[in-house]
Amino acid sequence: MSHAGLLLLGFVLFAGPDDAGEHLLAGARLFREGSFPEALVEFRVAENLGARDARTYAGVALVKLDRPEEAIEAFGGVDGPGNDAVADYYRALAAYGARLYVAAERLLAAEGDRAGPRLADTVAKLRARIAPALAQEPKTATIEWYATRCEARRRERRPVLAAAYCAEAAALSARRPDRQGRAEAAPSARSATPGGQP
Amino acid sequence: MIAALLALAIGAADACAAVEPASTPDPAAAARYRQVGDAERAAGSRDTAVVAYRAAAALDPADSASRNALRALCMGGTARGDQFQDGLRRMRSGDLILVGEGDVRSEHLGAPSAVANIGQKTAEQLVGEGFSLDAFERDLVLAAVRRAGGNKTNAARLLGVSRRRLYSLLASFDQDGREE
Repeated sequence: MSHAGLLLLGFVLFAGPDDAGEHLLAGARLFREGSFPEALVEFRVAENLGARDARTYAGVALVKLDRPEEAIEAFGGVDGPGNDAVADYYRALAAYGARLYVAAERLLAAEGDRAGPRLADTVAKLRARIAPALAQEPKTATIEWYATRCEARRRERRPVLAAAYCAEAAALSARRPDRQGRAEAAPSARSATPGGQP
Repeated sequence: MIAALLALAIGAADACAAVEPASTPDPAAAARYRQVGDAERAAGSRDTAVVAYRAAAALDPADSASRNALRALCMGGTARGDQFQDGLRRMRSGDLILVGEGDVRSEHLGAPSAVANIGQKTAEQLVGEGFSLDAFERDLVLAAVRRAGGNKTNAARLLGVSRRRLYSLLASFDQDGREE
C-alpha cells in the first residue's frame, strides 16, 4: 500500500459526520486510483461538511497535483514535526515543492523509522536531493528571494505561506557567519505568522 | 448516489463533454460541489473546478450557475489555445507536421505518416519560420501532464506513449533546463 494509502486508511475511523465520511471515502478511492483532481474535490466537499482532518487529506491531494503552496496552506504550515509520519512526509514534499528546503529537511529528519522501511528509503532519497541545496552558505540574494516571497504572500493575505517563507529566510540567514539578512527576515517572520499583523 | 457521481467523474473522457444528469437530483449536494468549484476556480485550478462543476451540474440539472461556469471554463480553454487539445485535433484531422524519420510524434502519437503541414503551412515554411520541434514536443508533453493533473500514467495514456517513454522525455527536459 502506498504511503498516502496508509494515511487515508484513517478515514474509516475518523471520517466525521456520515455525509462527510462518504465524501472522504470517495476521495480516498479516487486518490488510490490516481484521479487526484476528483479526489481533491471530494476532500474539499468533506471539509466543507466538517469532516475531521479533511484538510490534511486535501493537502496530500494537492501535493500530488503539484500545488505545493496550497498544500502547505491545507496542512496549516510546515512547522513541526507533527504526530503523523506520513502526513509529515507529504508536508515535507509540499515544502520541497515550494523550495522551502530547510523546512523540508527538518520534517524529513524527524521521520526516522516512524513510517517504516519503505518510507524511510524514500525519505533518504529526498534528503539526498535536498542536501546539496543546503550544503553551501546561502547567498544574500537567496535569502532576499524568500523574504520577498514572504512579503508578497503577506500582501495576498496568505499568512501561513508568508510565515513559512519568512521562517525559511531567517533559517538560511542563520547559516551565514555574518547573519546577513537575518535582521530583515526575523521581524518579517513574526509579522507573517497567522496571529501576526496582517 | 456517490458511486454514480464518481463513475461520472472518472468516466468522462472529455471534461467538457455533455453532463449526464444523476438518476436522483440532489440540489443540496450540488451546492456543495459548486462551492468547491467556485473555490478552485478562484484559485486558478481549471481542471479541478471543472470536475466540481460537472458533479454539481449532474446532481442538479437546474443549476445554471455551475453550467455557466463549466461553459466559461471550457470555452476559456479553447480560447486560450490549449496546445494539447490543439495537437490532438491536428492529429485527428491528419493535419500534423512530420519532419521525417524518427519524429517523436509520428512514432509515439500514432499520427498518420507522410503528412507534412500544420494548418496551411508546409514543413518547409515552418522550418523557415524557426519552428522548434523540441519546444513543440515539450509543450505537448507538459500540457498532457497538466491535463492529467500531474498523474504520469494518465499523461502517458493521453499522449499514447509508455510511462517509461514519458519519464524519459521529462528527464530530457530537465536536462535541457540545466544545460540552459
